[in-house]
Amino acid sequence: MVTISDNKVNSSKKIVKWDKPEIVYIPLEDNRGNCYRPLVKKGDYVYKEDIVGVCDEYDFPICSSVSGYVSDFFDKKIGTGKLVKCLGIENDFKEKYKVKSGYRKNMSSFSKDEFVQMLRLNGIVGLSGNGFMSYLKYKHDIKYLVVNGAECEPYISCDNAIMYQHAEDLLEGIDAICEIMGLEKAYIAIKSNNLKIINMFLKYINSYPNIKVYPVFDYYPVGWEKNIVKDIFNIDYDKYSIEKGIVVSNVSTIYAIYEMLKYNKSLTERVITICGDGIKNPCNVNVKIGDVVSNVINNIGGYKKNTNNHLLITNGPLNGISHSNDDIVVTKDLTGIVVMENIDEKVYPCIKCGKCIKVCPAKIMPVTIMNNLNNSKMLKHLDCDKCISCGLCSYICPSHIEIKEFVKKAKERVK
Amino acid sequence: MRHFLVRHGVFIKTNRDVLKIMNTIIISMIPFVILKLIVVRNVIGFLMCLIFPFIFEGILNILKKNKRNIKYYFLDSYTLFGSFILYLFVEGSNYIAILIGSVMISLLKVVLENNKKININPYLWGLVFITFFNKIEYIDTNIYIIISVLISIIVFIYLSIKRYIKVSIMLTYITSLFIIYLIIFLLNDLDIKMTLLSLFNNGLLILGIYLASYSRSTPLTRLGQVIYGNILAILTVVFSYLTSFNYVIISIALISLLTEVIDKFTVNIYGNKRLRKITIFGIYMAVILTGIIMGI
Repeated sequence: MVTISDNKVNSSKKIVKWDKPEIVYIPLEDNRGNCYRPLVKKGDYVYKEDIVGVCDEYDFPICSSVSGYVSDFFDKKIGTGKLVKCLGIENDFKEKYKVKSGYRKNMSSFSKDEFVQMLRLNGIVGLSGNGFMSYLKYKHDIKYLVVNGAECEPYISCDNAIMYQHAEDLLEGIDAICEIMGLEKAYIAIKSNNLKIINMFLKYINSYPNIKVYPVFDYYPVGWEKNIVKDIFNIDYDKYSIEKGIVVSNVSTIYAIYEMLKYNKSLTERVITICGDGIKNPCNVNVKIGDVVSNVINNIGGYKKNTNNHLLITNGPLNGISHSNDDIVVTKDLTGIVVMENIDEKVYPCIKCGKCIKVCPAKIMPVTIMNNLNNSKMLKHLDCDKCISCGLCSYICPSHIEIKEFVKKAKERVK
Repeated sequence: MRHFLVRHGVFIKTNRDVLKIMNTIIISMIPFVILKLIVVRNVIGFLMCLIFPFIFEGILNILKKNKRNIKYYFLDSYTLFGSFILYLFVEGSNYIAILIGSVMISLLKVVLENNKKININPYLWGLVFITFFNKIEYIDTNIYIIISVLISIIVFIYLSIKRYIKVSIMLTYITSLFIIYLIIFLLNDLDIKMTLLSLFNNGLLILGIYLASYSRSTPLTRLGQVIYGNILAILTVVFSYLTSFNYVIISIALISLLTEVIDKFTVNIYGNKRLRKITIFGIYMAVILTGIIMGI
């Protein structure tokens, strides 16, 4: 087990709200490569939460996060580093809805099918960074719900902040999901050292007999779905936890579902972490999907003076990538921005310590894959496609070799 | 819009890098060096072991046109590791052996440095080269052997906790040696204490910690390390019957030649749990069989 010092923003620090972008860029392609067909054209007026695009393959919509006029189509960079077509909407700051149904008292008055349809129509996707459409998970027959609160990526703390500041709402949301889906039990997995958060849930949990707080060990990557399921149920599965009747959703996703059930809100905003030694006021921010990172950072206090030797990383220092500038659109899969000093580590030759093999959560052999990069047959045999890109091999390597990058190349070659 | 540096890979790294690992290993050797200094009392030999590898490595680097500064030699060339290894296992008064050992270690180190294909342990083969005219042994005075064994156990536990050595190798090596010697002594009605004494002869523990578990010349996977440790134990026992000196170092040298084969084998059976179990069963059967054959 590898424990990594996480440098997270204190979860009790209030989530800052930034909801005044002048223009939002709604991406017409997601991190999984799904393209959205625009349903509006330049000059059209759109209300907040109006469907502005649809992914034909899954009949899955994308909604506007502001009300205003469509200005144009733009090519903008998203967190994965890809340049994608975006729909620019000029914010009129009126937050006008076409139909505003308001607050709902009984959140569990839906059938399972209605709930699944709601997930689809409100554009709910997994907010842990994978962007998997939630309705595809919940349409199956499931017995257990696991709420993944074991946020293991260093620096990223949006889930911790939501858990600490919205524990009661989350429990209400989980209870409603359990009732709608007819689930036997729901587990909230939280790192055992997050006592503050555990205590916050324990304050309210007595009213929810079918929900259990499940402390898990603090190791990296405990938040990986397979590890969470293994820790709680002691079972392995092949591809998806659904095979075993278990659905895993992270805290941000559950909170989005809660808001959908309670306030009829579509997924048009999310909480992201903005931190690192280059940020003046590290915090968790509630931002609109389509806002630009530079805009968000400037409005929460900006950068520290000297960031010449700094990196801007999306989605955390182990899983994420670095960008040349902060002109990046906030998407549903963006969990955070880290602005940290670049430390150039000297790379030594491999000493064959085998640590990367020992720690690999996917049980593959990263260093052997690296050494057999030109042998396609061997790469297939070594299951390099099982790599989950957690970056632990590169982190642990005493020679500072970027093994993850080699495995990434191997994965591409095998494809 | 603000601009930033761009690079690939992960952006945070463990602070336990190669340098730290090697420095810790070198520091862990100091108690052994001090003990030998107390027992042998040969300062000239110690100074020669300390200085010669630095001089030869420096000369060879100049000849190879490796541009390295003085700081490099002292901080991350690990030359001190070679010096300590030489001093621990070469007789203090055998100056020719020290000289030749220094040349060989430096030569192998400089020539094979950064060679990805040949993973040879220069310190090990430097010692092997001088086995012809030198007895590879730590100290042979009984009371000091006990002290050295105690230090070895403490050092082994320390390095294992820090995960700076391949623990599986040492554990399987010692366990299998114990099993073999136990069978031999039981079959011949010998005292059980002799079994334990046999384990600690010829600086076996120190050689095991510093040379048999040396990262670059040992297998990558745990299965490979178990196979390696067991074969090493078998070789040690077999060679101990052929020669009373240097059998540990010869066994380590021979098994290190098999590392690539073991690695290839473990890679080939990767994912095949049944074959893995059969391999482990087979290797332990070989250990027991060796004990029986040698005992008879």
